[in-house]
Amino acid sequence: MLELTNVAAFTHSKSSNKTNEDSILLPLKLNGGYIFAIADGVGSYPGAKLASELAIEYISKIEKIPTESEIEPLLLKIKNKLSGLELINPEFFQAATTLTVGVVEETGVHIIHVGDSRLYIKSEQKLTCHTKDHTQHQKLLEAGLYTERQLKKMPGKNILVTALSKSINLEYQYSFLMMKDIIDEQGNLVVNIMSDGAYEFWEKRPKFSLNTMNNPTAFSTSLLKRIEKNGPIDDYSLISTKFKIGI
Amino acid sequence: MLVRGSYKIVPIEDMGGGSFGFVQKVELYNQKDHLCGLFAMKTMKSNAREIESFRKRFVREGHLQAKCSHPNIVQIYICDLESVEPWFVMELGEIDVEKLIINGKFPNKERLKCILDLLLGMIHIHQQKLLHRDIKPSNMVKVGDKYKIADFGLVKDTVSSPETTPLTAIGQGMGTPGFLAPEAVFGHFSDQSDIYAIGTFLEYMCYLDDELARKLAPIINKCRAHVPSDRYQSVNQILKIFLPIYEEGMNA
Repeated sequence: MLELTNVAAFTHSKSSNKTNEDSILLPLKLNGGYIFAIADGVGSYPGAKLASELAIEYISKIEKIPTESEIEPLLLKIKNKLSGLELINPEFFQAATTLTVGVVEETGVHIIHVGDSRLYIKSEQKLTCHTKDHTQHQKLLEAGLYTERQLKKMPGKNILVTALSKSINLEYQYSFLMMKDIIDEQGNLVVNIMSDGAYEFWEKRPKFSLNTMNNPTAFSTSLLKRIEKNGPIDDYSLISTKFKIGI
Repeated sequence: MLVRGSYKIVPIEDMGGGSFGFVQKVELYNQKDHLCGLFAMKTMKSNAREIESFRKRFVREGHLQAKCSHPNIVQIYICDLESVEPWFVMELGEIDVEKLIINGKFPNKERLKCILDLLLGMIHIHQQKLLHRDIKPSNMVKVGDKYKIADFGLVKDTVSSPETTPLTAIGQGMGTPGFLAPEAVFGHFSDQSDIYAIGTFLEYMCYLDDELARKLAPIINKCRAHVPSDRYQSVNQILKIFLPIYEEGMNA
């Protein structure tokens, strides 16, 4: 038995005079499981907000948990929908968004990921990131072209190499994590998705008290305070979820 | 005949173009109908003008090429980049280097001169804190007795404005396969990615010239090293190694 016991979330614009280009999907029931997601519209291109909204709307309407072979067609459908934005305004021809989706069911967690939002799962006293950023820096590191030390001094940390967009080649990550490998001793599972504007602040000091880490409401409040105290650097969104898995 | 500012421009031949602009060979007349000479005119395509980002890119191409005043860079003479139909008039190349290589009428001394001109032009571009991002033989033209770098369509200004917050963007490999450095495939460009392209350019220059190939092999290999830090760190370093080869060849 799978029970959603706590959810907390926020999504805010970087500043009050700018549009929030992140869109979020709070946990929705899907085939006995739950689906939730964050899409982060790519800010350099007009139509970013519409792109992230469209991706979330599409994900919110899927009727069953996609199998691995259904994921690419699903993402391509969203990509095709995005190409329709050009009809609204020719400037939207490059509109793009990231998309990170978590699907929790009794047997485990499915992760579908394009871009640089992150999905974390609580493991003992830490949050372990289970998504790989589709960023230029990550690719340069993996290709052995630059070291981590060299990259720290280089600009381009926020340059993506893929996103959902008409004009970009699609690259995505799909992972499935078995429930037995990720639940804690009490049968709880904590899954968080953050956009880059939120995890930038989490990663600077990736720690709260154990009670806060175990409680989505407290975690969300504490992270929000930290971001607002330091001053947001981008739109910032979080969905923090806690599930109880019965035997 | 087109009247552009105080000049009259008569297109006489289409020369092709890229995604954003088309290039024509033109005769340029002043107000007294005196023929000033033959030039190349690049005009923004009408379908590209509607897209603000394309317009910005075309304007940037004109501004940055105009900023590079150097004997080995195609010079822009007149332009109107703010009009509804942006355009600029520049030096006309007689022939591009790719054609010289392919048609086989490219003597060893001319090849050496072309390489020297490429290096001098690139040193100037990098001094302006710009990256060309599309160095290849077809983007180098002969004008009189000089070889000049042309086509600033992919040029990048490496100095970002302090007022602009970097927005998330998508890095895309742009340029020409073979000339594109491994990191440029992921959209990362630097002096070293231009140096990689220079290495491929030099390799093309060795076509049907085994002696030149033997002399340039170490330079080409270092320019085209897989890891950017293993390449030359500046075009000046290449020039220093190349100059003795150039002098030996020219005195032969």
